[in-house]
Amino acid sequence: MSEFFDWSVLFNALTLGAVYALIAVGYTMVYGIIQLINFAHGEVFMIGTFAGLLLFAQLSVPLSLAILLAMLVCLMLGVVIDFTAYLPLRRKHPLADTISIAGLTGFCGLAIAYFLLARAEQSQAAASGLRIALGVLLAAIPLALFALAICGLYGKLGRPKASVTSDRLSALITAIGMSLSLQTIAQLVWGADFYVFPPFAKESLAHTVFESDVLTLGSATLKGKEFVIWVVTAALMVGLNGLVHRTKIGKAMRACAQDQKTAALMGVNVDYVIAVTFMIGSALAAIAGILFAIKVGGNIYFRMGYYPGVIAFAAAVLGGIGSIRGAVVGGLIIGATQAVAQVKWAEYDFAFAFGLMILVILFRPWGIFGKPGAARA
Amino acid sequence: MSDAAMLRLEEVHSGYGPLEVLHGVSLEIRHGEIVTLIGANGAGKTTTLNTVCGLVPATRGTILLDGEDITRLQPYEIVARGVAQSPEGRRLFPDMTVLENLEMGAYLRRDGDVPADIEHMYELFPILADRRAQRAGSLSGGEQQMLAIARALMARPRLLLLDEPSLGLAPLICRQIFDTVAKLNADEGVTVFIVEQNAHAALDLAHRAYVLETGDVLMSGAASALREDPRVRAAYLGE
Repeated sequence: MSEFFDWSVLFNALTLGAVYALIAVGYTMVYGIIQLINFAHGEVFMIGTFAGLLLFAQLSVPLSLAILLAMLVCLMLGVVIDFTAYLPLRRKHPLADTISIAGLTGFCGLAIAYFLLARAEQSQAAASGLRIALGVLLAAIPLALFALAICGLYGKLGRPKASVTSDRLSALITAIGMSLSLQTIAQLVWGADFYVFPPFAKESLAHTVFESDVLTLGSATLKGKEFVIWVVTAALMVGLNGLVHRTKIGKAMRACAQDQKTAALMGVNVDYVIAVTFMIGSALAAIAGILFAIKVGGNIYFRMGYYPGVIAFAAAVLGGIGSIRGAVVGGLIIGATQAVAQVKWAEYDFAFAFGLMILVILFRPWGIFGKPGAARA
Repeated sequence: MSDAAMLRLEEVHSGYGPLEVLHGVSLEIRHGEIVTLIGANGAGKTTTLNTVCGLVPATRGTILLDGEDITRLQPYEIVARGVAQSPEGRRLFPDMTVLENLEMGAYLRRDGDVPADIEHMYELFPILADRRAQRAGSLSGGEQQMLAIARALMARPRLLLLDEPSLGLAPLICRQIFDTVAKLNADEGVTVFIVEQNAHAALDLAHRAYVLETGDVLMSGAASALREDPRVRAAYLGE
């Protein structure tokens, strides 16, 4: 067999590809509908992983339920991100703007207080009620923002003043700011330590599913955890395809991606459809994060979303930004590139992935499934 | 034909940011009427329709639909009250099929008659039945216009707004579309507000007309009377 090919390379390629595809779908769907590169998406991936870890390792929630709850957390986070950061760029709405600013400011203040308290407490053994109270408040603010966002989407916060057409640069900088804010908040809350997904208890269902050997080809063994990533990704992509093509909300999403004003004339609540798009992409990022963390066994920390996020973004561009099919194919291609590169030049695997993206931007900026002229990323 | 106004605009101002396009437009459309708004390019005809639909917010004035103030409502809320628009330039969803475009027209409907109405549209515009699985972007101009009108009708509107339905169409196709609109009005009682540059065809079709010039209503009256008006004949009928 050639020095680059071994069945393990194929397994690795498909696993990486599946994870990138799950993340890339979130980028591409949001871009398709509001032409915004949501740089905070990698942080949603990170927070989803932390949420899953907390639920599973500290609160002993069964893994499947922990994954579902983490997806729910990220679904809400996606809406809060859109409501606080991006909606004010689309609509002038004094009340919503005020809520966004107050909510974010309050949240950051609480995070800092939590951090200072946690540091002060390291010298004392007693767990403080104050810290728990702060933690509860920390969780309550995003929940309140989520509730307000849903009210706002149904016109319960009063009327927006006007549509604003913000330029793409402002939106891009807002996205980067959101990304850094979420990273910093995660760092304040969880510190800069690396966390590890704890090993599954022997005899447990998760252990059987994730740790067993599914297939052995040559010297390569396919682990259950990789196989689960493939199956889950495939099932989610089939489900997503069905949602986008067969359901009313899916058709509304496609309609908004093609022509928002006309979609509004059909009676579509465009802001609601955009929020649903954020929900779907964010929930997929959460499950991608948890499965990936289980696969690699660790590396859970506040910056963990950065590289997978950027690589998945490259995958979305490669496939044609705005195209869901493209995100999947792009993810698989980038995953394969990285897996092959890892055989000999493991330190440079990201360089290969980005090199591929640069080639695409040079020669086919609209990507594999995109349309010429549509790619203005 | 009842006398009560279905749609009434009172001194409506609107525009885009600092650029005001409508400088206090007042007009009314009664139940069962076909009313046309004619005027030159840039007079504010499309802005008028888009202000009614909530796409362009009115800065001053009031828009009443059956007595209810809809001035500050969102587009989807206005559609929910029975106003549908076939926009200028068709604005179909090009990557969706003909059938999916029709389904989008019925987006807010929860009743079970949608499939029956789709069949009805295929009877009204038989060419759409042949094209049902085709991408809307692949249709010819005339077919696209028919689809745009059919899509608006799928909402079962009380008030149908048509923006330049004759734009870019061959005279024969244009004739056919206007005949269909007249038939919809006569048979199904749909109230129609139609914006046209083709003043000849529009005045033939409509019961009443308004003439819009640079954001102001210049004249109004029965369509038959305006057709004979020397100023209208000179400015808009090219006679």
